[in-house]
Order: sequence, then C-alpha cells, then structure tokens
Amino acid sequence: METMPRIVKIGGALGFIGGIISIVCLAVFFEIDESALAEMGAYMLIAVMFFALAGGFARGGQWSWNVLLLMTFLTIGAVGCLLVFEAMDLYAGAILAVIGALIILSLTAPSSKVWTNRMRI
Amino acid sequence: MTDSKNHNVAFAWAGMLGVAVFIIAWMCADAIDTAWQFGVNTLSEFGVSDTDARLYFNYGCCWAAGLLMAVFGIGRALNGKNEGHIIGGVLLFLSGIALVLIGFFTLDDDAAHKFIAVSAALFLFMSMIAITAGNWAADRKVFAGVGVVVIFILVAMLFAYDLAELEAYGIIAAMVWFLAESVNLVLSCRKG
Repeated sequence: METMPRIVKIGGALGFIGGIISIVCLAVFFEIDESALAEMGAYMLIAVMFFALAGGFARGGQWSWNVLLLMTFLTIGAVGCLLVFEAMDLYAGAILAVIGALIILSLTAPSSKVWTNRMRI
Repeated sequence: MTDSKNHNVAFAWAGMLGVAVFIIAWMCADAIDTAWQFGVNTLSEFGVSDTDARLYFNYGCCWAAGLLMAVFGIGRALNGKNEGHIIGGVLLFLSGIALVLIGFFTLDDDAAHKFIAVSAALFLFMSMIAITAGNWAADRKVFAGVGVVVIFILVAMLFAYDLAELEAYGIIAAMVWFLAESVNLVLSCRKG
C-alpha cells in the first residue's frame, strides 16, 4: 500500500482542525435565541466544509485535486461572506481563513496533486 | 521574443504601481480632509472637497491609477493565454479609462459621475470574472482561486453594506485581487 505523503497528512489534519474549531465556536457562541439561528447555522456550514476538505485528502477521497482546490477557495470565500454579514466572530473567521490558506499551501505541493488524483474513489 | 516578454513584465508592474499610487493618494487625501470618514463618506466626496484632498483624489486616485490600470489591462490582453484573459484585459482597460473620467466628472456633474463610477465598477467586476475563468482554464488554479474568493466577498458586500462601506471595502478587496493578478502576470511572463 502506498504511503501517504506527509504534506497530505498535514492538509487533512488542517481540514480536521478547521472543522473542530468551527464546532467549538458553535458551542462557545451558542445562544438559546431565535436570532442566533443564522450564526449557529454559519458555524455548522463551515464545519461541514472543513470536514469535507479533510475527507478530500484521505485515501479514496471524493474529489480530484482541481475540485479540492476549488472547494478550499470556496470555503475561504464562505468564511469571508459570513464575516461581511457579521454572522461569524471576527477572530474565529480570521483563524479559519488562515487554516484555509495553509490547506491551499499544502495542496500546491506536487505530491499532494499526485496523491489526490491517484487515490480517488 | 525576449523583448516582448520584458514588455509584458513591465505591463504587469504597472498594475502594482497603480495599486501603490491609489493607496498613497487615498491616504494623503484622508490625512488632509479630516472631515472625511472611512465607510461613512464615499470616495467621490474627496473630488469636491474644499481642501487639497481634491487634487490627490482627482490626479492620484483617478488619473494616475486609472491610466496605470488601463496599461495593465492592455498587458493582460496582450499576454492572454485564452479568451478569458483577453476579454478580461479589454474590460480592465475600459474600467481604467472610466476611472480616469471620474477625475474629470466629479460629484458636481452628478448624473455623469454616477454613470461613469458605476460603469467603472461593473467593468472591473466583469473583468475579474473573465480573468478568473481564464486563469482556471490556463491552469493557474491558485490565482483563479484568489479571484473566486474576492468575487464571493464582493457579492456579499453588495447585499450587506451601504454604498460608502461597499465602495471603501470593495476597493480594498479589488486591490488585493489586482496585486495577485499582477504577480500572476509577472510569473506567467517568466514561464513563457
């Protein structure tokens, strides 16, 4: 069985960390209030997107390298949109955007491209 | 061939210079006109200011930055690898020309000013979409991704902010894209 390159492991781990941070933010900023529904939904959406990115790095991942890169940019774009609408805490958004940028850096490595394209379902 | 590539790199640097000129002129105008507030007043209000901020805005932000933007647009179109780049470059050129015209038609000519300002913004936005699509097709995926993020954020701003905030934050977002695109053009010229 082919060994997973370290940069791919790092990319996947960053995706998980982003998802976990979003879930933690969901808990921290949780309010029993109808007006807080949009904010809670925003954190859930971002958590799902980050976990999906982590899944894209795994053996038998769901996306090719092109799609994985596009999805990473879309995740950062979604974080940016939620910050514009003030549906997300500014510091949490900044941390998640930086994690997204680091995932992109890990994807630019040649071994990531080879791995994600070869190890797809 | 080498000469043509060098010229294209010069076009690319015009984009970076345009951003630098715009930022410096904006900062100077803001420092001079203390009544102007970020996100409260529109940038166009500098153009009819009683202070020297008017000169910095009209000559720096509009004329100089607009011309550099138009030059960059020509470079983008000439060095285009596909239709997206060429169309985007032409739209960027038109946006630069419209920016120059904003310096001529200030808020005193209200109708003309609004028409040209909206045209400049729309040309710039459409060129962003075209160049982003061109970058994706030309396998410049990371630079295309920057375009995707900026376009997303600009659309969100359109719904979330009022005109003054949209203008100020939108220009900052556009400048980030401009810098990324300038770097892209420099690198693609080197690669050939």
